[in-house]
Amino acid sequence: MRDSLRLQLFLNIFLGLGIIVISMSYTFYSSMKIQTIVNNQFRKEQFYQKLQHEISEVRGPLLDYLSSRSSKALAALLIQEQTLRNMVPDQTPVYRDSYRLAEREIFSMLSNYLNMVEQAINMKRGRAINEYTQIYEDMEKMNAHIAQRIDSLSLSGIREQLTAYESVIDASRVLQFHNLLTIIFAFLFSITWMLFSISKVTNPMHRLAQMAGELSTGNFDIPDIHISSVTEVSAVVEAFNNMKNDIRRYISEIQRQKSIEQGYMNEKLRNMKMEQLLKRMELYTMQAQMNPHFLFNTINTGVQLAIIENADKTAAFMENLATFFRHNIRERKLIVPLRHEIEGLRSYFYILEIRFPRTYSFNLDVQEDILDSCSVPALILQPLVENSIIHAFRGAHSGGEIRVRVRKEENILLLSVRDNGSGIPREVSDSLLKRYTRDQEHTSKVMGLENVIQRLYFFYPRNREVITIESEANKGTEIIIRINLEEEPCIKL
Amino acid sequence: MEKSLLFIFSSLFIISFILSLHAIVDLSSLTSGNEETETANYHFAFFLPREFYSFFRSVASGAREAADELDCALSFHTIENDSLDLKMARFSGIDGVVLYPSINEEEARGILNEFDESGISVVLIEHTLSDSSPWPYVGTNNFDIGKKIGNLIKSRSGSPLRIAVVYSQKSPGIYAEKDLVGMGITTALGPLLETPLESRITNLNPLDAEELTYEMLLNEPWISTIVFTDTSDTLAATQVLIDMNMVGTVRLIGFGTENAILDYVEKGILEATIATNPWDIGYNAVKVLVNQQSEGHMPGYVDTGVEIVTKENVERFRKRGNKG
Repeated sequence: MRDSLRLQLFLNIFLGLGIIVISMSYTFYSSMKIQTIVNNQFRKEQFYQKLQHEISEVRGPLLDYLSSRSSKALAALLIQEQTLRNMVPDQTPVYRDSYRLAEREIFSMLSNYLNMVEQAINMKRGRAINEYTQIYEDMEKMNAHIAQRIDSLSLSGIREQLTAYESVIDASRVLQFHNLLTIIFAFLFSITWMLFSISKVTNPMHRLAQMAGELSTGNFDIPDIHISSVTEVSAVVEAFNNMKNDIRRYISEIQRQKSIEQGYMNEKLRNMKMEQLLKRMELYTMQAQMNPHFLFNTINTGVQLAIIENADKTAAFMENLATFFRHNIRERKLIVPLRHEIEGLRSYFYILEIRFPRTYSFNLDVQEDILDSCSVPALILQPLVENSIIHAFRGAHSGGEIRVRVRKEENILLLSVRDNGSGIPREVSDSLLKRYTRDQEHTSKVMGLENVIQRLYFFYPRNREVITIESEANKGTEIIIRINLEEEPCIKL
Repeated sequence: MEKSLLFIFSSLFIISFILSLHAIVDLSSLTSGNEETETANYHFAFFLPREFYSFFRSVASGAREAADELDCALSFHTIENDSLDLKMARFSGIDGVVLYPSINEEEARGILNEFDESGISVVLIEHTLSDSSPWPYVGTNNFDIGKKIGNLIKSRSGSPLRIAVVYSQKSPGIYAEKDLVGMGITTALGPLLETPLESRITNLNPLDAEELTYEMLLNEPWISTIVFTDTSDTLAATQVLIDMNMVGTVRLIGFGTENAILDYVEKGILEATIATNPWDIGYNAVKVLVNQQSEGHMPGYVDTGVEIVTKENVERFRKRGNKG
């Protein structure tokens, strides 16, 4: 049963102090007992001393009365006689013990002596001079004899008691020693008991302090405390356990919310960066449009001049160049029909064939029936071809082959740009294919192949294989774009 | 740890407390145990000489035995001339008196009469008083003592016999009836006695016999046998005989059954020793008083007998110890 802290402390301290008080009281009692026992030893001797005194005291009044017959002496004699009679026990049984037998003899003689006192008084009253003179002589002898017998008896008693006194002293020493031990052990027991009681209260507090220390270091996984028989301490322990568990739950909740918030913030940051990227791209595009418009108008003027001068080949070249620029300028949409992408690529091929008639050969293998049904991110093929022209055939003057294949396999649109150039080292291709994270600093020069790769990653974030590079040194490179037609491109900012 | 200490200290506390209680009980019993509460029917007083020889110790021993059997209480007092103890005894509430009348006969008669007047029964032991009305007596017939001594001398010695008997005031029982002793010896020896018995007397000094014996051995060489009638005299005389290297030249017949005397008998230094029965005297004295108290009468004379201890039967007396 749990008790209140106050009650428990009170009871335990009361019990501890009570034991000490009881042991001290007992020691006091035993000391009194020793005194009583020692006093009793000599009580008889004290009595006989008094008796002897009273017996000697009767002689004076007796002689006074017998010699003077004064009433005053008679009164004193009678008082003394009565005093002595009161000291004589009513019954004097015959004890076997010699000491008590001697007592009996003394009391008998004293009783006879007092009878003789009465006789002497009567004789004096009757003026029997010879008789009371004789009896006075006998009484004097008897008085002396009684006194002597009392002396003897008292001496015998004292000797006997002295013999026993040593034993009494020894027993007293033993008793005092045991009393000392009793007090010492009572004290130690009480102190231990009180310490034990205090520990019962303070141990949970100590545990609480330890737990508080643990909690302060952030460790909320420590087990609950389940000790104490004290109501108040139990309440504190229970409250502390609840507090610890609540804090642990709240912290867990806060961490979960923080995690969500962090995710949300990351997403937001990513979106912001993407928006920034798009704006930058838009700016690039706009910047790029300024010159292309001028160039476009200029080229159109060139086409008209070529027609006027009847330079058909030049006119065709200029027209394809105008188509290529128009395609690039016009396509401001993010996702365009595949036909637009292919038409732009054909114009680009024509221009390149005119520019490098002996250096490169271009092959465009397109499945015509999918040109209008499929859409792709704008400008994803031309940069790939341009990349091959710039990097794969650096320093080459002939033999360069670039093959572009577009086909649909089930719901996957495959776009392949293949060259027979110098190839891309593995570490370079891995670097190019590395997906930019939100934490990475985007360079402002994300152009060409890398631009295409990152845009594809942007539009198809869940498709890990949206673009792959297969390359072998001095044999060529094939860049394959795989667009899942069922997957909507991610164009939300 | 705390629980262990608690258990240890509480156990020690309880143990020391119990030991303390035990010590108090012991202490109480040391004093309260002295209170004798056993009572008796009668209270008898013994008045014996101050010289407390084994004779009187045996008397007391026999008396105590009888007191235990017959439910009596005994008090022992010293008898002396002009002693108030004896004179005041009639006021001390006693039911009876056993008296060894070693005091002045006149004084003794007066006191005995006062006892008689006070209704207190009296028994004399060892020797009686010549009086008009004989007092009850428990003890040895002194004529028998003399007769037995005479018979012993007769059986051990050839004639002519020259015998000296040393009486002592220390043995008033025999001393008072020395004539009876002499008659007994004379009766037993008859014509064998070459000369009449020589009588010598020693006083109360226990060493008095030494000088007497020395003078007798030195100045009266014709004495062939010396008879002692007191224990102290016997011991003193025997030592003189040994010191004078005259063992075997004079026959000594002692008195009493002290161990030293029995040793002398066993070694042949003493021819024999006279053994009265003091234990029986004490026992019968109490018995006589109880009879008087309970039945109103008592035998006037109880003879407790006498024996002669020789080398042949000394072992038997050793075994009897004080009771002998």
